[in-house]
Amino acid sequence: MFKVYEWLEEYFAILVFLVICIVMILQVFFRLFLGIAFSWSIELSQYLNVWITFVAIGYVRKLNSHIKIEMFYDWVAKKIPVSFERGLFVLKKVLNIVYMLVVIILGLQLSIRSVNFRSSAMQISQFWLYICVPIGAAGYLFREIHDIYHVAIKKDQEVTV
Amino acid sequence: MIGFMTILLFVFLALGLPVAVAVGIPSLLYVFFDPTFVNFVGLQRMVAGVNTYSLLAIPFFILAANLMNTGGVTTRIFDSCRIGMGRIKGGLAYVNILASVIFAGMSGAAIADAGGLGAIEIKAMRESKYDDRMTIGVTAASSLIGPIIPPSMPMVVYGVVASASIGRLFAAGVIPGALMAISMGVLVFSLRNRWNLPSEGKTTFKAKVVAFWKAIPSLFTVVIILGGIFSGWFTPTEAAAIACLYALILGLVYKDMTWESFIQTVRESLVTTVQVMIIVAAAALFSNILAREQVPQKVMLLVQRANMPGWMVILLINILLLIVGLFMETVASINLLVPVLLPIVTAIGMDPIQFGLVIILNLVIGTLTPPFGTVLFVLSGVAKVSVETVARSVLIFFIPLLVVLFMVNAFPGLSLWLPNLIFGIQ
Repeated sequence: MFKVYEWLEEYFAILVFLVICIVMILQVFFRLFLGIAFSWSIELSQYLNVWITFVAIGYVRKLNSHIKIEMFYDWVAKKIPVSFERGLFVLKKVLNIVYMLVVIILGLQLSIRSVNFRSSAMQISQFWLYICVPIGAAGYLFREIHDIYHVAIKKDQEVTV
Repeated sequence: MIGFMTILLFVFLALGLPVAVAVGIPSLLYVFFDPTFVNFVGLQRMVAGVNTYSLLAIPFFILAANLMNTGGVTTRIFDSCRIGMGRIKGGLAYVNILASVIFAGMSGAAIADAGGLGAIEIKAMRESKYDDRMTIGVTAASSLIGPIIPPSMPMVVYGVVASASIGRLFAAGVIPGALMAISMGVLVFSLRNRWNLPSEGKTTFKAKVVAFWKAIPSLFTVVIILGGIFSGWFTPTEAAAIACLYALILGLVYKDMTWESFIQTVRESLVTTVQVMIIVAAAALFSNILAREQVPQKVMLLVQRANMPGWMVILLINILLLIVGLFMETVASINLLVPVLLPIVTAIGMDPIQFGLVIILNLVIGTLTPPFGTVLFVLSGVAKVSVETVARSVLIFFIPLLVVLFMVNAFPGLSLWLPNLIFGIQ
């Protein structure tokens, strides 16, 4: 089950990325050589671009590659007692988790409220645009909790934030 | 409230939270405390921040550069640049700069240059027994040409935030980028005896012809991207997509690309794209709040009351940008600072296109400095030395970089002449 999730987490985003490339290349090809301009291609690629932006945050969290500035924290962490450092670590985790929970709730509200709005070119419900936000935040949250589980309970992994 | 938000932002950044979260928490707090702001609209602003046609170019430019690195395009460019440089003292250092200029014509980010081309450059220069200071220093500094010479990822972001033409911004980067290369070349020239830079043996005429012949299809990438954009055939976004296709075809023709390496390249590009775009999304809400609170107008009033001469304001802005560049990520800084600073500089009479170049140059210089220097981190991985060593090696290259920065500030013609020539005077 977990393996299936990991596979999906990684390859769904890669698939979407490739689809955007193909759509965009086809669009240029059709316009330049056949003189046909699609109405839906740009909107589709833009929406998919939003999708990868949000959906893949969990995967990037798994790789621990979100851009962050660690030098101050590392410098401070060396100078303070261990208990204080643990406190800071817990604080960071709590901030992360609460933020993601809020994003999930607001994202769901936003998606549900926009069910009846349709996009200008493809005429699909805006629900499908906004639902990627709570999905992505849930993926991040999962990785965050998974991380805490391994650091604090199984103790088989180094601390990452 | 805005002051509290900003303080909170810096505290979270210092704590080492991901930049997107550190920007997002204060923004959402503001949304909750402002009764006129419907809560979930905050998220809608984030989505709207990335849901633009221009930003669609970012994944493609990242992918194109990575495909060129794995597909063998980069190697061939480097080999072709070596033609005729063998016997010159410090020849490989010039080759390094020249290859970066050509690579910059295809890639839009300094890290693609440092990570891909940089690895080849460092290997070649170490084999020829160059001083490691020169090897790492020139590789790091020349990779900054990447985001200045078009295409350029920070310019796309700036164009979106400042509502400036991305085509014009691209054209504006050409001359300053060339200046960077020339000034670095001058520095290498003046150091050639002091650091005792080696030269290499002669190559045969035939080898030269072969190297050039092999590189022609790779060099043609520049023609496709820049020619396509400046002639108006493609939009920058489309040019980026075509560049991906072309790099992929070259990789297949050169037989340097396998299915595994292709998927690996896509995966790396995906991660880089998400890193950038999620920050753009979070910062979009933050700058929306800055606009609601009329922060730009208030700051401008403050500047006007101070009654400073124009050059002084520009100087202060440059210093501010350099300091911000030390601590902050480029894309986030553009998103947060441009809405505030742009009205000030336009009131003084600086063109938004010129200011785009000024802000990007300032911020990319910051990627060479600790505590937060993406190019430093990438190069320390590639060259297998500590971040401190890389930082010390590039120190001397700040001289040419700062000279170019001064010139771009002082002479508007450097950045405005070419766009006016291509697209007409605005």
